[in-house]
Amino acid sequence: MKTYYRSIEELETAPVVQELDDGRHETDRRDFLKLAGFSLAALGAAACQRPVAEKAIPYLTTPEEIVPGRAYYLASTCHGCPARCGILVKCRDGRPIKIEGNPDHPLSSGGVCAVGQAMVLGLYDSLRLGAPVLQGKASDWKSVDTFIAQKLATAKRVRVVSSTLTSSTTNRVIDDFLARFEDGKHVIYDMPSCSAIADAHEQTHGVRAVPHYRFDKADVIVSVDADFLGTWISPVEFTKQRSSRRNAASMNWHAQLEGRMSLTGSNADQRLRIDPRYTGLILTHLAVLLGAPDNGMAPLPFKPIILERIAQRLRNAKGASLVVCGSTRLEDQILTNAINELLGNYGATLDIVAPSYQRQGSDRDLAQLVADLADVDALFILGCNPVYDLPNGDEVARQLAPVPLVVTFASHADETSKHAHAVCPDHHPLESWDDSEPVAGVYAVTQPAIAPLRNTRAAIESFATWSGKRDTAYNFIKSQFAGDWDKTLHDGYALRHPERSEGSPNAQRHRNLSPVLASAAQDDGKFTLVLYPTISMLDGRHAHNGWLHELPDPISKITWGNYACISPATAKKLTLSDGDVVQISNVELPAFVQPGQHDNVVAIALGYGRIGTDRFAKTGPRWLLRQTFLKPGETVGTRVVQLANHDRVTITRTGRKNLLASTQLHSSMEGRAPVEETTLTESRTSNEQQAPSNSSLWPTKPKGEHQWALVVDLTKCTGCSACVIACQAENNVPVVGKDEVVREREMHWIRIDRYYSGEGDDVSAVHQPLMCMHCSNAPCETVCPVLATVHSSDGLNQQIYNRCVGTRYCANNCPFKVRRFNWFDYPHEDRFANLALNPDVVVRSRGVMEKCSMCVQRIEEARIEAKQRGGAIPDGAIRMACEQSCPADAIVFGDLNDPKSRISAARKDRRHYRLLEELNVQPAVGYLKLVRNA
Amino acid sequence: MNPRILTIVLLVAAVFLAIALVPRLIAMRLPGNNAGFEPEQPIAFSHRLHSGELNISCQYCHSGAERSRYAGIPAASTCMNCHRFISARRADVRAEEELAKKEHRKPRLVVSPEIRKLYTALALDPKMQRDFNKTTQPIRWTRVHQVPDFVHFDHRPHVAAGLECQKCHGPVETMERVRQIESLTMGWCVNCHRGRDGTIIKGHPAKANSDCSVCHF
Repeated sequence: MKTYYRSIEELETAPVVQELDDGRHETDRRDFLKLAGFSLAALGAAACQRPVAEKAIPYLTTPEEIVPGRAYYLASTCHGCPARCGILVKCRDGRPIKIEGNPDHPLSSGGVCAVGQAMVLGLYDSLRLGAPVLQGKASDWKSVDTFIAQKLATAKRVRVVSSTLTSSTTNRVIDDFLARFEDGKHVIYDMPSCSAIADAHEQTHGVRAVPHYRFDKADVIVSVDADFLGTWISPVEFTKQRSSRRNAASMNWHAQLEGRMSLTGSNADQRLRIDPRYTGLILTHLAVLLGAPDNGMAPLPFKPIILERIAQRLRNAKGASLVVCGSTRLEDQILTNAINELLGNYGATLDIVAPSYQRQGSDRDLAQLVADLADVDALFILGCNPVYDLPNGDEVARQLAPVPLVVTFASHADETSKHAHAVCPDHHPLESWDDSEPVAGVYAVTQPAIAPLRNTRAAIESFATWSGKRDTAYNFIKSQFAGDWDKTLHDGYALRHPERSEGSPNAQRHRNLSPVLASAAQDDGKFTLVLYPTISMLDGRHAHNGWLHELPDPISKITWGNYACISPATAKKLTLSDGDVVQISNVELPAFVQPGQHDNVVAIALGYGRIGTDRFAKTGPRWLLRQTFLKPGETVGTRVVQLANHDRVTITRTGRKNLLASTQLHSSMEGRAPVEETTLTESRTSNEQQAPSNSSLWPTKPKGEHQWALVVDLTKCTGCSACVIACQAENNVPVVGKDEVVREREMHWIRIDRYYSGEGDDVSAVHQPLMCMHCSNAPCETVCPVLATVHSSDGLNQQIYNRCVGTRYCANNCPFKVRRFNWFDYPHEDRFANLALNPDVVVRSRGVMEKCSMCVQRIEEARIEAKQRGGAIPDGAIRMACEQSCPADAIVFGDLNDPKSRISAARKDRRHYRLLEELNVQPAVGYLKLVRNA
Repeated sequence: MNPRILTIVLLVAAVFLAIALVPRLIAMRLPGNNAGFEPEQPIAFSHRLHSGELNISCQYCHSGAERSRYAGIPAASTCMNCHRFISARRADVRAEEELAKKEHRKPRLVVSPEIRKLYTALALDPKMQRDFNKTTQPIRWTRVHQVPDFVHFDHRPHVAAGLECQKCHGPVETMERVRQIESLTMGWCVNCHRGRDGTIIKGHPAKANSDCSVCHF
């Protein structure tokens, strides 16, 4: 009861922290003494007084099933991207505070990515539109509806443009709405587009659909520029599938051919840098190697031996292999289909009968819409931001001007809503009723976890109102549903027999194969441009989320903004180094030297440069030397999607420097090997396991009731960074802003170290999540002068904030550098955003050290429940925040005192090792060696 | 001034100062120790009557104690389980009944001023129905027992262990207005967790985990 009401109380009375301006204030000796004297007196006076008594305000009528102070979970669906993973929304006292994966979900099986975890912060975004906007002014729903009805009365050509919706009900409501008009059409596009995959299947299989990929059934995976572990179609589902086969018994083999260094590429067993211009040519060669007729191809731009090796692997795994391609060119996708058909993969690792609906966009429809925009009478824009998203966004903006009615459903004032007559903000997904069918046969429900916080309205209800069939979204969803509603709501999903797609998905085999014979173009000194979505911003839809801006990119480890990635050889040639500002077409960006990237490629992240991101200028602590890293009107990063109009670009140096806020300044292991790597054959034969060293000067610690420990399987970990955001959400980790990250003061309790190995063509990277190691002989504990960090009887290294005086000795003595110091009181004056704080974890104040607590609040909760039940804590009952949502199931937590626990088994694994074993600090956190199937 | 007079004046002043200060010094508590806190509450609810005289179990109202961290203050609807029917002291009701008999009319509903506050909070009309012309007004109680924000006290394990509520909250059943008896300081907690203050639960000396992270995280 305390927290729920206290937060409301604080909402009314919390003092607003005054901002310090940037000017230095001179304080002379006299002033200092006066202040010192006053503070002493004030301290004395305060000590005699009782703290202000808190009010406790109970419910008048307690809602059923709510116990104040106790968390409850609601099954729902994630709307971070159209993949629609299953989630459990953890709520406390009526407000969502954390998003966990739904372990029973048939697609995501308990995983959630960083973006999904960060949705909860988006809910409490104070800049979210709080009311509809009419002609640029805040308005009310009645006026907006009247205005729109008036305009629609004469409208004939009406268009709805949206991103992939996956919701059959929303689609149906939109179709009903459009049916009223002479010419109504719903246009869908995705950014980046997957339209070519669907179009290719229309040609080769007669069904315009994106197949449902089954990486778990593939022994050999070949991915050509498809970042399927990062952002491609359904990354959490694909990570789950792939990692289910990353074990010694049935390890899959994964080859990645790509131009930039992607998250997926860094995890591949075999990686090959290619210039994406030649994707078609390479696929043609691969098809020919697999038995397609050779019609005289241009030679490969690299030595064919690797491709032959890949073809050999594929041939040996017919019907159990999978070739995926991320190209947006139709001919590349047709070739990919032909290869999969040659290998007999359809029906085995690709399902086109029950396809995926996670990408429904059509580039053709979009081009048609843009061409016809001048004749359109009314345009409705749902879940997308075309002026920002599309390469020709500026032109679209110009064409929007004469359209009589433009309506968006944007949650923030964005690039498109500037050109709209009316903005009808949609609910946040955590406030809405919705349904979805991400893959044929999997029906999922989205249920609200909180009543709408603002005066928003569900898009379904808006469309229904304008169709004259006003009803609630709940009624629409429920009336469309056939089956056990209560069970579906409880589980979050229901399985159905998929409707058979029209048209027989009969392959026309490779007869249709139109090989790309293009010869290698001349080296014109220009670069192939690769625009990629990042795991945090995606297409830019999460640009208002501070957690995601501060999430280091899994490969470059850079936060707050985008940059132009170039290969080390290119950097040498152009004499560029990290942070040198370069001009590419009309865009200026800092350069970043990316090992493993193709020399002819420049790669830039999409999703940055959104208007409104100058809000983050105020992020970070208030202190005298603080600079705002953004001026009003500036944006975080730069919009680059307009460059997609250029196929080839040049890089010009400007001579200026722009600081990159990186969390990992050097990538060398300093000769220590924190990551141990082995090959599959070696791991099967070797028997060595490091003999634990037992000699110690310290007395042996008495074993407690439990012995908590954690193991990270580096073979499974992909570095996707879901754990970083999970930890941030669970443990109230603050966002510190770009300046502080540059000063190496980021506060994440778990970081993912990335190490490269190899040079030139053969660069691979490894990812190592690193949190507090909870050493048994902890170096931090021995140096703390106030016993603020001590060992628990259960093997945890405890950090006691209220005892800490901030000497920072512990951080200096920590060999793993996992301790984080609160240099400042990080801003908590956005009272709305504070609602996302976890009431079970203290918000740390200035001058206090903090670090991974091994989610001790979860351990305590489980212990209390076990005590009430009167039994032991079952293995797996406690899940760390990082472990719970890990899409790769790479993290295992448990009790070493239980010999049958998963953790005990992991500890006995031959691959198990601990960091810096030679120091004999005896960490409770261990790692399982990285095994590559080489 | 005569030094002797000065001495006498100073001595007298010292005695007065001592008389004024000593009781304060004795009553002085360390910061964080709120023992003796007895705030006025918005409704003069008597634990002596409900818990002592009527013998209602603590957890009938504070049902969160075994389900949540917080024992909780009951919702007004819980009060209404009884106070739908009991609106005043029996003596007052009797008096009204006799008066009504004398005046040959139906007895009016007698509502005591404190219970009226409850009905006002719930915006009830004289027929105990929700009056939609009025707004409900949650009752703003003042918290008596409170630990700082960096302490995560949880009622559940203490209730599960069989600890009496009175061990920490004092003899609430004798209190007209609730007062904090124990200091609720860390030393006081730890003494019991370490089994040093002689607390006996179900015939066994109390002892519990005294790791820091049991409370501080």
